[in-house]
Amino acid sequence: MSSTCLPPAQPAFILRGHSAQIHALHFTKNNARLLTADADGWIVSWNLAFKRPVVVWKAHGNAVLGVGSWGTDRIITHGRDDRLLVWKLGIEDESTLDKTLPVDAVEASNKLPWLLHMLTVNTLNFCPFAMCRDGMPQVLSTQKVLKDNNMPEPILIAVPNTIDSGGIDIYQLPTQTRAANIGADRDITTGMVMALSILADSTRIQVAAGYESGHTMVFVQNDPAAAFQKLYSAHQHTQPVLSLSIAPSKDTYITTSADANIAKHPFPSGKSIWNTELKTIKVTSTKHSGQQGLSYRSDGKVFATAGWDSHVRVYSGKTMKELAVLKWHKEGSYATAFAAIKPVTTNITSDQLFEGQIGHSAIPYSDQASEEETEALVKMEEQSSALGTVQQRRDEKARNTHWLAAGAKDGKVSLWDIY
Amino acid sequence: MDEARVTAFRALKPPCVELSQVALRYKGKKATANDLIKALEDLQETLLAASKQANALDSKLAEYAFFPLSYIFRDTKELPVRAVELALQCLQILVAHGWQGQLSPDLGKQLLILLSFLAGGSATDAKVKDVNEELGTAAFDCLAALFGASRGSFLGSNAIQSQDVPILGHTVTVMLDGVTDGPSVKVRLAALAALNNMINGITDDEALKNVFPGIVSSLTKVLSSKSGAKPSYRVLTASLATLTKILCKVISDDKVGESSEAQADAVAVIEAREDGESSWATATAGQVKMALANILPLRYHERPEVRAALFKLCISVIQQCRRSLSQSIPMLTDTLIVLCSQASETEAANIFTLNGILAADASLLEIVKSSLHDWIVALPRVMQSNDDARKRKTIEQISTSFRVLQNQDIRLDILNDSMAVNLRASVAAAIQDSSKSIRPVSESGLEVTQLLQSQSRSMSFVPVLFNESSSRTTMTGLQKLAVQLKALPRSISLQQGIVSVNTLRSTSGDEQLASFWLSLQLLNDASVDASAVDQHLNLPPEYDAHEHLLDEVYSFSLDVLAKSTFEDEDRWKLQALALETVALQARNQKYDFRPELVDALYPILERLGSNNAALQQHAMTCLNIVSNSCDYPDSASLIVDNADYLANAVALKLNTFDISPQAPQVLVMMVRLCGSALIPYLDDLVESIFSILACYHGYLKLVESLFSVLNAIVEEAAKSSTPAIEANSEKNRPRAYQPISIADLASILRTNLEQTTRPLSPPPEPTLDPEEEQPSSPPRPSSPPPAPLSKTDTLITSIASLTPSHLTTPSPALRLGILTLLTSALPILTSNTDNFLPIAATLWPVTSIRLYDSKDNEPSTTLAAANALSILCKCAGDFLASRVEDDWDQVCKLYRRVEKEMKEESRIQGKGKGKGNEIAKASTGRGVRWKAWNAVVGLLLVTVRDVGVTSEMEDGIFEMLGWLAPEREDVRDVLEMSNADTLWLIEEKARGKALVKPHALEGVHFRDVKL
Repeated sequence: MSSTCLPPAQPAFILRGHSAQIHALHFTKNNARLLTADADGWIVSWNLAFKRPVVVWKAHGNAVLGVGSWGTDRIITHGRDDRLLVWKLGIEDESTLDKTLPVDAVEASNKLPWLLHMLTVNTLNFCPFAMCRDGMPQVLSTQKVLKDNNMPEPILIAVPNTIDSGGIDIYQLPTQTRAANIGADRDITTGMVMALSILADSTRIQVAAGYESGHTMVFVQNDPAAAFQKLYSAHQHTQPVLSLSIAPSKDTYITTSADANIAKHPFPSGKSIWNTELKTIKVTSTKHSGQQGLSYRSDGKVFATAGWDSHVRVYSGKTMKELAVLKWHKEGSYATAFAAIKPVTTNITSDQLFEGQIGHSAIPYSDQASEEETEALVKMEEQSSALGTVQQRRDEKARNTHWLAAGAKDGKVSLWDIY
Repeated sequence: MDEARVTAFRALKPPCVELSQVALRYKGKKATANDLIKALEDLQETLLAASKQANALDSKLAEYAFFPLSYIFRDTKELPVRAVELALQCLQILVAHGWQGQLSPDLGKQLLILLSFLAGGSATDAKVKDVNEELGTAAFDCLAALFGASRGSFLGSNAIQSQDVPILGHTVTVMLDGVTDGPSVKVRLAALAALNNMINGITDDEALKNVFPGIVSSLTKVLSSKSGAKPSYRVLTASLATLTKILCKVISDDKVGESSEAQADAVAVIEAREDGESSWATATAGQVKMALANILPLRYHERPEVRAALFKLCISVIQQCRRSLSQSIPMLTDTLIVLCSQASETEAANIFTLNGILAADASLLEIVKSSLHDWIVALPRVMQSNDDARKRKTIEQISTSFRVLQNQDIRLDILNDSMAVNLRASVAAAIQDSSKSIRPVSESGLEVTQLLQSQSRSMSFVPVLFNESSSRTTMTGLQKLAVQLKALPRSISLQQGIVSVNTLRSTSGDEQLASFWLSLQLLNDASVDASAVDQHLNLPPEYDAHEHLLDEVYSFSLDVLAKSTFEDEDRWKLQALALETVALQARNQKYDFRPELVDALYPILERLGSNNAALQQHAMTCLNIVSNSCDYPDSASLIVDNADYLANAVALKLNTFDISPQAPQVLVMMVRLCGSALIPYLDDLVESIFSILACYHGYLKLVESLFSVLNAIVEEAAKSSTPAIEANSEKNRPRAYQPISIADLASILRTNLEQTTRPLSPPPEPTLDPEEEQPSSPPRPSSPPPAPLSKTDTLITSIASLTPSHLTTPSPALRLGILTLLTSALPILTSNTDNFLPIAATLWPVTSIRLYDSKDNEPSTTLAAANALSILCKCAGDFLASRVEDDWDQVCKLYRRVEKEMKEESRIQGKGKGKGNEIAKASTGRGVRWKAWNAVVGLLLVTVRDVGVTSEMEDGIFEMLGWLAPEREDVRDVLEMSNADTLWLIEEKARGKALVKPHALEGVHFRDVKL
């Protein structure tokens, strides 16, 4: 795709303001905001049109492992202080909160977003949480209550088990109950869980996990009462798995590890009688060891990894060929995120399309809540139409840009406008 | 009535009688010419008086009064000219007021002959060249009165008898001669008046037709005279009026049309004549066309009166001779447009008239349209020429015809394409033309920071193109045209044609510049106009189209500005236009423009650092407009508020090794404006700077500018962290001097016994751990938790540790700069000892080399290095003791050198004014050597006070500085603190006192001590 004669790509913008290394990135509010989280527990929400912080707060006492969003106004943060927190942070809350960047902040401001939920979880593993929409039909009464409160749909959160670091706990929010549990494998010494991904469709829950030993496994629970079945297990990495992501097509997933391999695995949904042995689809040796922060773009065409050698690499989702190497950071980078891209259609149909997609969405976080977000944003746009078309167009532009964000040890987030 | 006549008669009688008597006597040589003239004057006076009374004169009286005058006229040749003139004036009064219309044909003819003769000589004789001017004027006046009063009735009420035609012909000839060759304006005017009156008077068309060609050609000759002396404008005006009259009278549609109507119902007999008539008309029309073509250049005449007359002519002809002179109509229409385009305030009504005419006749509009097209097509060529007036005229014509057509609500779509193309080509040509006279772009030495401080409040751009005074009118013309085009209804497609971004991007050079300029003109204030229209009409927003165009041009501008100024310096005009576009966009979007500053602000500031004064000024204006539009109180706060964007832009530039000189300048300015708050965000930038420094260290200018950035960063950081050094000043201090106690003495003596070879034992090593001495202080003093460095500190640390490698630069100025930088950087770092001491360790050798290096014998470098080391010693304290000790020999050597130089210098300067001691005191008005020496003294003092010295070194210090102690308080203080006893000794020595030998003590023998 990219021809060799092009000059090296340059980032479009550098978001400066974290004083510690960046651990997680997440586009939210329909690409209008970028959440960045660092090793000191700070979370910054950036306005992508202005490229400036809108909300800054210290969410955790220790490094943040993962950030996600749930519905239009909920932010999930997962810190090494053994906590998984859900914050309420709508656009309307932004003005009331602090926006002094961590670099400038002498001490943490006491203005925090409203805290909605808190789960005490295991963070020994450095494994960030994984989440998906809970496909389980709800008990009627609770659903009604939820709807009345204008609550977003319930979600499932997968984290390593609190005691058994090789096992996986699955919690349901907003009930804060443990919905399921996958024990550590008894036959293989997998070590700790290093990366997780979860997908739920009606009653079925699929979980992909990467382990310290370099193993990766897929578990499926076909109905709530049943136990999880291990459908797939592979050992393609000699080093611990660092990140893992299910493709938007929901039939494969990719793992990266501390070694130089990137592997594409099948993501089976049920046990087939005829074909018992599932095989790894493809393993590529990239010759660059230590790639993490794998993220897929919502169309599945490309994915990116953050390398310890400070380079961000973009790969083709299909062939896994290296498409671009983005060099800007001078220190190892840890996280990447793609802005969700809309199919190029007219406004109304795109919304519908989105809705359709979301119905059985596969992408862990970024698209999760798009349906509701889109609606809310459309509403917001209608309100703000009086504000002038210039502003609107600019927001629109920022939202439709195919951003790729990369965060590194130097505390900076580079925004790339490519692909 | 009668009474008046009687009175007049009574009054007239004596002068008439007198005149006739005098005339008779004169004939008989009995009276002088003067008598005659006097009599005539009397008569004239009386006549004048009478003529003022209504009805005082009538034909009878006129005849009575004429009688004596006839004597005069009979002998015009013998009589003095003055007399004849007076007689003519009398006659004029008589004709005008006496006979009026009742002049008998015979007398009329006679008078005609007489006057013609007087005015121009006889018909038969060769022309009398020496016709007196006054006489001629009087004669023509008289003729005018004759024709005017009688309306030519004496020549026959309807038709002129054939025998009279020659007389009339002759008169006309005389009059025309008067017009064309009259010796003075007065004569010509008089002749024209006469001619005019004649044309008015004669009712016989045939007669007029006969004289028509002559009159037209003569008038044309006058009007188109190209030779030397230009005819007076009054003559031209009158001639034009006359021409108008005769054209309308002879060849108007009525006349020709009448005959054709007549043809319709006329009997066959006169058919032949009618044929002749029409053929005559056709032939004449051709002739008239040529004549008109000759006089139309008058449309550019500088007198408005002439143009007004010509306008009248054109209007009259178009209105009255529409068919008969159809060939001339296009020409005349053109002329009308031209005339209107030149219209000043007073002639504004012309356009109104023109509109009226055009409204009545659609074919005329076609003519206007086609001439508009011609002009547009011709415009590029005109623009290439050197004729500024012509350029202006052409532009004005186009503009006027546009306006006229617009008033008639004519669709101009067909013109759009050629309009867009040709306008662009014209502007390009104009640009080319104006850039032929290349003025050297004025260089500007102003730095960005200075510029911002200069508080220039200019809010309007100095035009980049056409700023020579000669082409300024061209520019305003083109501008006006552009504005007009914009105002056209349905002009959006035309605008899109002109403001085509494709064109902008695909063309280059002047043409690109032209497109850009035109686009800008069109878009200027577009939204204002458009929104006003939209409000009234509630149209589906055409505004958006404008907006869209502006957006496109704006993004093109950003592309232009994003290019490095390095490679683009020669295309500064394009950049200046781009700046204007940015300002325009900012004006339109107001507060909403703020996010655009991400991309737009840095390019503007970058241009502030341009060498080209004009571009710099442009950038300043643009900055002012932008900050104003975005609601910032001034440009400085704009920069402070958007420092993050700027830092980003500069960092990206530096990261790609884009080493344009502007980036460091902008950075310095930013850092100075924003202060230390900005510094934490600059870490990667500093990194880039050092990697650039590593690659391009040979390029002095670049290196210097980059160091100026580092310097600024360090200085701003220092400003915010000054208290740090004071708080920590008690750490790592050497032990203060303690007077030797008996116990000490004893121990010394004990050691002395052990090491008898040494006269003095070294004092105990200054301890590194102050904590050991005060064990009760903070709970965990031995391992203080390493307080995390703030980003600023990390940054300064990296600067301080990376900078010294550049101290080997060949440029003294740069060395100096780096040393100064270190001087200000070090105090900031002291707060964190763990971090600072390694730096101090690395800094000491590289810096001290600068000091000792005798090759580097620049006093200023010595000064700076000594200062830097002083600071280093002050901050690091006794950590450096061993290093100082190692270097002590060199320090002493250095001191001796600088002292020698200082003394040498002051000897030369002060001619041995006093001793060195006095010199040492004063600090003002000293040379650089003195300053260097002073700095070294300072270094030594700091060494003693903060680092601590061994006793040998102490001896050296006293040796070197002892002589200064009495004069300088600071030296004295330090020395006293170090060792008061030695100081006392030295002072005693200075006083020249001998030591008093103490009384003998038992068992002790005091040796003699010589001081």
